[in-house]
Amino acid sequence: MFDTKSSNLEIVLFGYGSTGSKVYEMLSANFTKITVVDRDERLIEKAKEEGIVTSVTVDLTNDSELEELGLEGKILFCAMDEMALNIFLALSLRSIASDSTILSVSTSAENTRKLKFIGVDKVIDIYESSANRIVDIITRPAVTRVMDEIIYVDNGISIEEIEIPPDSFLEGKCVHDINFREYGLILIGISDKELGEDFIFVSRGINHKFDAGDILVLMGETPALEAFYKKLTEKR
Amino acid sequence: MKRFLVRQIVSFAYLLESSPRYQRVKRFFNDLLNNDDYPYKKYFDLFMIFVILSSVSILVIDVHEHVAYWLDFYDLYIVTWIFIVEYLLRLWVHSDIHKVIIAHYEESEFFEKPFSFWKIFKQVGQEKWAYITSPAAIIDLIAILPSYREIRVLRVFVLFRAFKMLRYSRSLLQFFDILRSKKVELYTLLTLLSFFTLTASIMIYVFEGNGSNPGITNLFDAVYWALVTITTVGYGDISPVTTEGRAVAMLVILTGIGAISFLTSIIVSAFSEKLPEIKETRVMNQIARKRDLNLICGYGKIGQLVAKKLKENRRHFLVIESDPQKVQKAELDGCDVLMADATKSDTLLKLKLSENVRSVICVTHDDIINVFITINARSLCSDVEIIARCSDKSVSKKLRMAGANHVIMPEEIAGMLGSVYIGQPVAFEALQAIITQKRTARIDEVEIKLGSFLDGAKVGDFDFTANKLVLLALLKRFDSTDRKSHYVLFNPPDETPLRAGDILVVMGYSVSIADFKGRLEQSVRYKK
Repeated sequence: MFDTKSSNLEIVLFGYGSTGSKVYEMLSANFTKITVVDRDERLIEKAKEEGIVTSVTVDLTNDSELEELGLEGKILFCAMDEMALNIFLALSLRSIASDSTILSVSTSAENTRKLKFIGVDKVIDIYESSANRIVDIITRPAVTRVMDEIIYVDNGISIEEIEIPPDSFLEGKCVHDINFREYGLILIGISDKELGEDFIFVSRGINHKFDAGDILVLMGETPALEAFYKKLTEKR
Repeated sequence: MKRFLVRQIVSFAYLLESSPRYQRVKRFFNDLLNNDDYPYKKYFDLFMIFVILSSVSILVIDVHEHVAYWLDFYDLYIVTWIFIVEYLLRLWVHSDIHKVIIAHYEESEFFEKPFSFWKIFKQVGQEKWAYITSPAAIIDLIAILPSYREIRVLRVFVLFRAFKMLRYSRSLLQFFDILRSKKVELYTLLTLLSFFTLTASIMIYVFEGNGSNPGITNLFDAVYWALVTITTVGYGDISPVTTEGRAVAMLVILTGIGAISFLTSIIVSAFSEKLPEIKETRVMNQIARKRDLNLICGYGKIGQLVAKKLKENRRHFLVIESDPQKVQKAELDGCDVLMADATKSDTLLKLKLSENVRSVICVTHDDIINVFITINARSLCSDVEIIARCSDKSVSKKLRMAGANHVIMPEEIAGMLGSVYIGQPVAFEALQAIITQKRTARIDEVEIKLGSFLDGAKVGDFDFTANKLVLLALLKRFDSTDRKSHYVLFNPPDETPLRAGDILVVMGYSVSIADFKGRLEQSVRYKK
């Protein structure tokens, strides 16, 4: 990968039940440093049998045991099957590791609200996202097909975000000055530090000026993305 | 002589059998008269109801005022003729005479038996007689009678024309169906009531018919009094005057109250028993004409969300659920629900799977049931889209084998979303925003219509950027005949040709997309 960021991320996955094991499966495709934590010894044994070395049994209601895991700065993913425990865990984690990114699964709008209230960075409603997908298949089949090709299918097409480094060739240029199609890429949008963290879709038609630190969201084939990244990091 | 006649008749029967025109005409009339799914039957029904109402109105107006001559003419000739023609048409489409003749002829040839006119006559007669004696046909026939003005009593039969309306109104027919289901109870009650009425009327006649009560002079008066009393109507125009008579009256009143409440309870219970069925017919009627129906099998967590979102997208859907509690929930949420088992082929056949249904969404909580529904649907229809949910990977494989087009694994989707979020939070939020259409930016699909300005053009011919659109991908058809199979071209180069049926996947704000779609649509109209 041209972007070394994601491979360095350390993820702690809480829960290895029916939800957790599937989340692990999806995570392990993209990330290598994953620790699996569960309070059920049998599940951890199962995880070990399946080849996950970094798996530990921890009493999740005990804060001191959680602290021993060293959670600061890591990405914490709550995927316990039992929703009440999941919310409790998210709350404990928020109080222990204040600057970590916390993700959690949710099973209803009500739980989502509670989790957001606690301060979880990203709540994923299992059923809501499934329902969205079903409805998309029915109402916008072509869009869904394209999204699937980007996200699920390993055909080299992907959406990546690239941060503009200082002193790159983009510095001082505007969106309309650069023809991304020449690079075989599509610029979807920009997240600008100057304008807050808000995401600007390119289709809004604003001729935005590029600055170092802006995050570009680009779609294209991996070699094209890599080539562009290389060009970007070259000093002027 | 007979041989000649037989040959003539049989060859005529074959002629009818082989004539597509005759078949078409007959089918048309059959559809018009009897097929509820035939779109033009509705208009025919409305026309007949109008004719009936006008005829009855003329009867009512005629009581006091003399109606205009042309109205009388209309009632006497036109209405009558319409009814006669309808009656004969119904008699005609009820059964096929020529088929009976052919069947009999072929049988007699096969067994080398003599061709018998009598047998044909008997069989045809039986079939037609079965129609003539059916209640609806009798009403039809009686409704024609009032045209014979010589007998005044017959005028009342004009009201039978009103009864004819039953034929054209399904809800009224349903009412009779409900009563029919309680036939035994109603008969019992009727026998009991007539027995009581008869006994009471004889008793009152014996006690008061001898002149002591001026109101009761004959047995008819006595029966009239008994019926008025037993039904708790009690006009009071005739009332008992003797002690014996009053004693009879007290007994009749008590039994009357019992019998009437019994009658009410029978009808009420019949209705409540049939309530699910009534609801079902209502739902079936509502969805019968909807094409592109989506079936949601199972109203659990995902089912509820899908129903809600489909409603927001204004798609037609029907929930199929077997759990009464969930059915009730769906009803409260305002969905069309059918309480049925989607694993049974009857259920899906009833919904005309291959004609009306676009997709089957299997989202019950049980993987095995989802597999069953998938197999059921796929075995009945090869081109319906099936989306099935499961939580086990091994089941996912089975669902694919059973014929599901899409398999949804909720936990897997959660994991996938999580991993995209961790790796690329900005891209994720952007995608999420366009996928869930929460902001105004969204991704949409635009099909190139035949004859529009992009049909036959190249990608580069249209300036997407100037129109504030981003062309993400192009879905091209594998071949021009198959509407469904497409392959995806990401970021297509300018020289890529565009053909009708290709789908453009564009990103942009709702207004830009709507504008683009509108322009495509308009260009089609102008070219033609």
